[in-house]
Amino acid sequence: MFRHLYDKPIAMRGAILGFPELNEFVLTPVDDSGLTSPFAYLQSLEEEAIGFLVANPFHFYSDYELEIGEQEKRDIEASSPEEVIVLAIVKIGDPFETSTLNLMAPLIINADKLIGRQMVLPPDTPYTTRMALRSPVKEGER
Amino acid sequence: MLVLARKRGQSIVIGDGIEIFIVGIEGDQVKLGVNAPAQIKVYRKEVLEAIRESNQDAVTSPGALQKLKNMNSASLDQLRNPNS
Repeated sequence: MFRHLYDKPIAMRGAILGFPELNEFVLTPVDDSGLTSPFAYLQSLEEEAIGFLVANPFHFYSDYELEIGEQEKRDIEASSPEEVIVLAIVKIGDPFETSTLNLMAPLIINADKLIGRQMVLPPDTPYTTRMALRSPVKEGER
Repeated sequence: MLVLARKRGQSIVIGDGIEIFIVGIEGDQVKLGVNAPAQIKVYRKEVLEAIRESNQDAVTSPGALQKLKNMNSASLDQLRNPNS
């Protein structure tokens, strides 16, 4: 689902919390079959050792909801929701099934302009920074 | 740091359009009301710190990702297609 984002520099402009010095990232597939994977790898172009496994949150939480406010839209220069791709940072667990998703602070990326930021959901959000990697929603159950 | 004494119901104004009220005082807890333009985001500091920490914990180097793929074929299958 993120294939049109692959291998292009994405301007995060220091907006990943805790990494204000990192401005540019690139999204790559996690493996050769990455076109169907809900995961991808977001790597810093400035600090090669820094990267995040990211996932399509809707793959695991089909009812995931977030409101992208006017300011966030301006930040990523988005004019319509269709341009925006939402990614959740994965904290890898061992075993892998125990990995968690940060649904409280998703990454939003303007797929056309390749500008992204991390946004923080409002205090009343039911989502935390460590949501279980729920069994994916099977096709047909949506 | 600027330190101001305020009573319940009083407020301070920051710049243009940001006003912070003392709504209530109960023991060691102060309730604040914030009026600010929509583009000004207001967060509890602990929330931002928790996210920062979560991001730092989640850092996965390309090497670590490769290792995960090499060591754990089940994980790789998960990465490829969790539906399988």
